[in-house]
Amino acid sequence: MSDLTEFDLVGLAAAIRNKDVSAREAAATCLARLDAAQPRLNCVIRFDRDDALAAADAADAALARGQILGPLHGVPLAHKDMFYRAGKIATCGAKIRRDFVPDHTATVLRRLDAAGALQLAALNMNEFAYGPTGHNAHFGPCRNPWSPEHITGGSSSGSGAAVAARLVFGALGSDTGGSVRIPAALCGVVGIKTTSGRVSRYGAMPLSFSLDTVGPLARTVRDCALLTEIISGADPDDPTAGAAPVPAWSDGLEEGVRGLRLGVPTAYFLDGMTEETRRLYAAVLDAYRTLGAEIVEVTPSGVEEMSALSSIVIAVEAAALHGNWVRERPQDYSDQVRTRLEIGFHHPGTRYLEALMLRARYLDAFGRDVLDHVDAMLAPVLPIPVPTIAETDVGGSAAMNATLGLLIRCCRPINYLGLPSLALPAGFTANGLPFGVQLVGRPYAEARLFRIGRAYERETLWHKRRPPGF
Amino acid sequence: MARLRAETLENWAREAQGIELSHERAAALADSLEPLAAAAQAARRALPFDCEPALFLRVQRRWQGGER
Repeated sequence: MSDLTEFDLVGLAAAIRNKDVSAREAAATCLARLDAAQPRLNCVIRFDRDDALAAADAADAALARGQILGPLHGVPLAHKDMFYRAGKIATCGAKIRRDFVPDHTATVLRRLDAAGALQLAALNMNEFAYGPTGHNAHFGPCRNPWSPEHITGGSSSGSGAAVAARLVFGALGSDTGGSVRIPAALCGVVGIKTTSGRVSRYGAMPLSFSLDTVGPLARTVRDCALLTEIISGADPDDPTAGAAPVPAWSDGLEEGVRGLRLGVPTAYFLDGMTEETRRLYAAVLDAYRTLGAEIVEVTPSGVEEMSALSSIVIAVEAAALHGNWVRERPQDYSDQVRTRLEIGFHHPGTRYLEALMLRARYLDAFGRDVLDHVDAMLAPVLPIPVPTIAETDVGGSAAMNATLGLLIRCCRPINYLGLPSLALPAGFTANGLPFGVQLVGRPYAEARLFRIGRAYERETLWHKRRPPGF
Repeated sequence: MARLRAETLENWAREAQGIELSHERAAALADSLEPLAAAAQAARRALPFDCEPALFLRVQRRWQGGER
């Protein structure tokens, strides 16, 4: 194949193993694309050019000796700049951490390294992962490859943009209230919010230790499944990472959806959709019907409350984490992040603990209302077409809560419940920007979500479309 | 009432958290907090006595089992 970017991640890995493409060639191609795209997208905070090329040469040398490092041998990736690598600055998208050099490497990076992957760059993100738009007051906004005037979504903004523009073959993000799913949906790629406890968070910048999750963004469901498989599982460095078995998710991917049930929420999740996004959502349901899935209505109760309780948990935990910096150098935060952190200081301790205590009750209710009846619930990621950077540039103003609230409304309750959710591209709105849906499943049921997502992807081929100019 | 709320927040922020808030910021914060407080108040009525946060993991395991 003359154009390497026509490969998906799994295809490229096979081509490198078969010596059709060298790791050096793949890395050099991606680095050149990252360089060329940077003025337009601003998706990179730091290039790791020399290290990446050295690692690519080492991968090629190993292959020449007959040694395959792992399933990602020589595959170029880049990650949100909040995954620590010993000796490399991790800015976390923040002025405060502009010079922060961690002394340890995140477990997820170690696992990707062990699988043979290359890291080409550290990617743009919302400041301290606390924002759903892709704005960044310190490093500049990341821009959507489908239209540079529009937001990428956040907080894993650079991950969404870089994967969508085919600059790299996959990227890690984090999701505390939608931060993987929102940029995945807005940039037209696949992203998974993993079950709470599925993936180690050791060496990943914390925002809210109760709700933070790590997950990949990739061009296809199969790519996303492979990356998730590699980074999942118990970790002695992170006692919150569960010991649930990690299946070979690629195995059941092509089994289709005949006989499976998908839930259409009659409450909350479809509120606020426009006529256009409703039509696209309905088309997804039609596609699943055609594929043999049964579509049933489900009525999740108390979702407004879950969303509010989730906001309380994030706000208080983030305020506790950032307390000293907010006291000592408040001027070094953007107005929006500082305002959001200040809110967290003002919830009483009892309210915060009640919000945590109620998680079990709401998860149980969601189980009875939804999970008992369907294999997955289908919801939009964003109920409206992708807005522009200017429309969402609200800083810490009075418009902040309403603007950000609309962007995170469909995602945040899922973090509160700790459930897995797979975001998929599902068409385009009239402004030329992608529309995305999410499949929400049982705890640790990522395999089923990948299978359901793959069935739709195979039928619709949205993932084959390229942003203009990329 | 709104003014009183803002002043309370300002004082509390200074004394309890060591954070200086302008009156304007405190008023904005009060507006942000109000709907969350109301939602939390509504939700807590359903809170049983013996519901520690770790119960979440047990419920997670319950719903993890098998498929639909």
